[in-house]
Amino acid sequence: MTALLTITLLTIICATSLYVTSQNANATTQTASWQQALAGAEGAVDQAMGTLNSQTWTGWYTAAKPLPTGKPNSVNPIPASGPPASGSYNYYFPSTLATSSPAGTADESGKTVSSWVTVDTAGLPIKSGYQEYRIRATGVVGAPGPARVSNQKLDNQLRKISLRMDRFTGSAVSTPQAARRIEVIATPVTNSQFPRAITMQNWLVMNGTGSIIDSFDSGSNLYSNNGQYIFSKHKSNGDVGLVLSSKGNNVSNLKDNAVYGSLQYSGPAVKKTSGVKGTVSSPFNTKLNPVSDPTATFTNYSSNIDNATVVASGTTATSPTRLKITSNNGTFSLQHNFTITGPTVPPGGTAQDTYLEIWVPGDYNVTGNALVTQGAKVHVTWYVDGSLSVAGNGYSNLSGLAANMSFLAVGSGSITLSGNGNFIGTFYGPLRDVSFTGNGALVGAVIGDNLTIGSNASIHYDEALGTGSSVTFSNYAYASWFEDNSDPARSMAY
Amino acid sequence: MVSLSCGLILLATVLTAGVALQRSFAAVEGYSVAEGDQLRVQDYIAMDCRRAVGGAVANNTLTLTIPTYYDANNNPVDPTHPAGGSIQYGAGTIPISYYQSGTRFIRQVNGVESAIATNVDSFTVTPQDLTSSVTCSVTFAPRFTTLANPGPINGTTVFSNTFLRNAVARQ
Repeated sequence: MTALLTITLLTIICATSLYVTSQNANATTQTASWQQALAGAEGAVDQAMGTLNSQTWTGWYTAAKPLPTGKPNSVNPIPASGPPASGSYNYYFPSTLATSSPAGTADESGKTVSSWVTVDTAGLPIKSGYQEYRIRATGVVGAPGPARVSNQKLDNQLRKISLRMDRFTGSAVSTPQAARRIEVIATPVTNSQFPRAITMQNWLVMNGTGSIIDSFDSGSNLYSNNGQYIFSKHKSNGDVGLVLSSKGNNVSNLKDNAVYGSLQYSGPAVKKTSGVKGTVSSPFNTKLNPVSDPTATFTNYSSNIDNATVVASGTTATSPTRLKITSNNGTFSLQHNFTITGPTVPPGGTAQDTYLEIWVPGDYNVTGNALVTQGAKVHVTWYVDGSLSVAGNGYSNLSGLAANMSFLAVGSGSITLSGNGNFIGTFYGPLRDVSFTGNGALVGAVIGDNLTIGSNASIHYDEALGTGSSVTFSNYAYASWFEDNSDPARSMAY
Repeated sequence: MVSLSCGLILLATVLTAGVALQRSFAAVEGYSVAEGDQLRVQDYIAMDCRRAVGGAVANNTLTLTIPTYYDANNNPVDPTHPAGGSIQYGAGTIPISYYQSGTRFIRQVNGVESAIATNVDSFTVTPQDLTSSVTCSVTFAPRFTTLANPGPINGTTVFSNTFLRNAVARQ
């Protein structure tokens, strides 16, 4: 009798154990399926981004809106010939989905990760001449095991496994499946010459401890004070890119200064990066074309530059006024003032944007009390063959916009920014040794061979340099990312 | 007498084996539940961080704001992209907070609390720049132990470092 009771008891215990173990196995496979489905959805997003960037719509199909809640039509689909118009959407799915169920059959893990993706305009605007798109990608994988909710009850709020009904369509499913859906907004990105705050062929060394590298957007009052940098509205896209982080004994060192952005580099690890607020990643590569002397026809400017005024009358960026400094052996060494202005505005008229290119065959040296003043509606590009030395207070860019003023440094040599004032503009000299010696700030961006910030100088990257009207399309990037984890039938949203 | 002795020995052996199996089962069960808790917490935080448009850390509470993606019927709404701004879904945002309450780990959505894990020993969210990533660690007390208290048995700490995709998205 005792033996019988014991055996009965043990049998009950064993049966219970097996039941619980079975449930645990069920919960585990559902969890695994849930993770696998995300990989499928993300892969489909990549597929769509790749297609938008290549504009090769081979294998895609098109249909009229509205967007499908489930798998798009696979019966006699209409091939897409281009990007979707406003009243339609394009979709892509592997050919196997045309004949088989997306859900896997019972197995130790999801048998097949399937995915499909739609692309439509969603009423989004055109930016820089290119349409923004909504990408909606779904990954589906079978959830092996019986159609039974997880014994981990808390899992059921997160992992909305479709046991009997597809949670997106509400239709019945033949076998349990996990489905995850991601919605991404793809926005066109321009190939700006200045996509980040600092781009160097080699190292970046910061010697001070009070520098700030961050960003703002002069085109938005949300992120600027009427187009001017202010820390309270700064952003965190002050990125740094170093093609090779060291050269000889010069190893990049940020000295833990605040970098409100990300650091990308190739080569040895950059030292003291704890101040980098964004990501620190490697490798990094970009092509920086060196600057050559301009080949267009320039008018010689042989007058004394001190206290001179020049008029920029070119009305487009492609047909600017062009002046070549020939006085003082081509050196622009200013003692007093040099003013760049636009044409005289007739009474009742308004000033128009005008453009000027100045070629300095020698050195550019404007420091001390010397001052170059650039009119508010004038866009100036300087070509400097010799060494370039400018004080922050030595250049007054009245437009307040970095996009309106740029130094193009030809060949090798040096670029020095000194003083405690703010310099609004850009430096582009991929072969130049760049040094900032004062405690002022560069409001714009800099590209050089290497950069040494010897004091507490700051760099405030103007994001308008990357999005302005003068730059052209490069590729699509995501502007928004959202995973739809709702289950409307269960009144569950977030 | 001999058969009785053999029977008793056999029964004792079966009982001992049964107890050992039960202990093993309890350990495996504890491990399974703990793994489930850990994965769930990480998956929740990862999902919300990825879709968050903002974040803040105060009093060891991680608060994320996510777009109002759904309408009143829990169906997705269309996005808009105002000039000079970021992508918008609906009006306003939805706050989601993560914090520890006793041994429970709470996910609060728009003011409504729900426990997403139990047996939590500690929760630490590392104040970050919140423009790139969020680092969290959650320590779970041991579920299976022969001691009265956790004592020398350490809890399991899981870390998550999630990229805030929307914080670095291009506008």
